[in-house]
Amino acid sequence: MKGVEAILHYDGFTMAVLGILTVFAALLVLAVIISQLHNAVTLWENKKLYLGKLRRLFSPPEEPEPMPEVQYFDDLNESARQFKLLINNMGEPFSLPELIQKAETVGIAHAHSTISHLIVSNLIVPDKNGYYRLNHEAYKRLS
Amino acid sequence: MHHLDSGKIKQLQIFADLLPEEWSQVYPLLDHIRVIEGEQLIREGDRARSLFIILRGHFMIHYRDGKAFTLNKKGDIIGWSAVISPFQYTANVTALTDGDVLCIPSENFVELIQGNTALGTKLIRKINEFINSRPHTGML
Repeated sequence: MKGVEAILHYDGFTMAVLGILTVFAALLVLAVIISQLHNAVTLWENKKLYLGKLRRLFSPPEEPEPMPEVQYFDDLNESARQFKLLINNMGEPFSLPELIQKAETVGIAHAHSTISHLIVSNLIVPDKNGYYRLNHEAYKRLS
Repeated sequence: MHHLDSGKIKQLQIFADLLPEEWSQVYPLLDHIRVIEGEQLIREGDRARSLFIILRGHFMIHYRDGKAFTLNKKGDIIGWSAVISPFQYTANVTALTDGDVLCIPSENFVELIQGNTALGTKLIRKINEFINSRPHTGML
């Protein structure tokens, strides 16, 4: 048995076609990999971002935390009285950080939030130059 | 972070104009930080590593010369030195009350802005609006 007869007998043509298909399939896979290389590089460069996304995808949804409003626990009248004494001592306009420092020195508890309370209540007002004044009108109304 | 409602944060002025695909790039960069009364959030002279956005609380921006300004509006931006050269804080920021802020690491933020021009332009425009609306607070 020779030539085409032998090829046919041993499935030569089938093997040749399979070989060609295998090579082309491998080339196709290779081409796809090369064409997507830029995406792989982007993925690597932004790995933190994508890992975060992936983590969120598989983690149970978290309940949004309620955001409590700012609360003040001081007695506004008493705070105003205490701070008026300090401001009188410092003179006006005064520096806000200095007022906090003095309040802490004399032992006023929660000096920061108390000053915040006085500012939002319009008892301490900015002078537009970075310093502050006591709002004497508002203070009188409070008393 | 991500204990916070993405939808609500998206409504903040700085993010309001972002498209959904842009928001999906910004949101993972945000960190939620809880601050307590008296805590110093920013120290003058330190390398500006983060930009902060107020969610809740009252904050005092203060300088060496004793000048100070306070911020307490939701969405106000603190620490824009984090996106402006020479990336160094020019003032101190102390929390007057307990509060919550969003923190954006400067490095990631700058990378994002440089990598996506349209998104970067929108965010920088918003930051500029804040800077222009608060000229008295200086280039913090």
